[in-house]
Amino acid sequence: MNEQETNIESDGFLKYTLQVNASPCQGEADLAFGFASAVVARGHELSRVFFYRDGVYHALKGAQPADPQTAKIGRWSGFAQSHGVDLVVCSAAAQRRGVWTPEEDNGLARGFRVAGLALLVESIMTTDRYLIFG
Amino acid sequence: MGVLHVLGQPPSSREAWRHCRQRMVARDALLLVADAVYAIDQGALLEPFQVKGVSLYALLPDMLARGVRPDEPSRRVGWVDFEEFVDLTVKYQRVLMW
Amino acid sequence: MRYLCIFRKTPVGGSGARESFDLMLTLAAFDQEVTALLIDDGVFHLLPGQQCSEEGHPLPALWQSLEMYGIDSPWVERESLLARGMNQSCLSIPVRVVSRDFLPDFFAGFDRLIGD
Repeated sequence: MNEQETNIESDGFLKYTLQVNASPCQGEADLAFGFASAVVARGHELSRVFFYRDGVYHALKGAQPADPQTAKIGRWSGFAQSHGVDLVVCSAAAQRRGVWTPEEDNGLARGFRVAGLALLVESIMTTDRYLIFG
Repeated sequence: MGVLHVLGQPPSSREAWRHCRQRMVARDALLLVADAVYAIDQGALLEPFQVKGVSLYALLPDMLARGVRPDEPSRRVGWVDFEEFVDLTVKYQRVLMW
Repeated sequence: MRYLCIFRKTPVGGSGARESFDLMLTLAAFDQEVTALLIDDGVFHLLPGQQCSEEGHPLPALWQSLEMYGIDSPWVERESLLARGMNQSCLSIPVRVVSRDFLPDFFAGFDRLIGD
């Protein structure tokens, strides 16, 4: 199947999957957020953002919005709410870093949910573009 | 259509720059983001890419944040904002970050 | 869809390499056409004799079992090997070799490039 042809059929609007590997304090996290916002602004569909590797730290609760640095952690929650974007944290990567445990399934920031890599793969398979940040 | 290579490493990370450059050909594009935009003030780093004939872009907000001024007279590098970054990914379906 | 998983970094230290590898295996588990390419420091993945510790450095064994996941022998860039004093015959598993000059054309054969 030729992707370019698909673009034409869909009026140039594409479906994106983003993967964020960077922690909230790394520059690539800013790049990911800026890109995600622009995908939506351009009228494309951002179906899912998958937080993998150190990206899972984005799902930590307790950011204090007063500090611009930590506000960066909370901005995804607001973004997801405004635009209906599915924020998914990789369960294995989150467990490995102590961000989430199956026993205490309530510790994530608003808008985030936990799922396995299979969900990422399903997204990659069904979207036109897939970008990895960090 | 080639590959959109996105490079965020500072000019001092010579290896990263070299590794990226070595895998590029004329049909590819290079987008400088984050600390890579400092290279705009050091033309020597961009020259080999120009010789190859690749399309050069830089993320304007990252330039402004670092005080890197757009090189108005020569315009070797196309400045893009985030939405134009998205446009580049529409054009280039393969993206590789360095 | 054809996927090229590109390994550019050293395998030990941190969990990054393992997590890139897991993504590749998951793609393969969904019957996607997955190819592995090792360039730059990524070629160290295939240095023989790496000791697998309890703390989880199972990658050498996983590379050995790629076939089980339906993934063919990885491709390795010749120049990356040479620059590190290595060659095809000293690696832990059989590989296919691609030259640096050909890589841009090689990339064109895939729909998605997945960096590590």
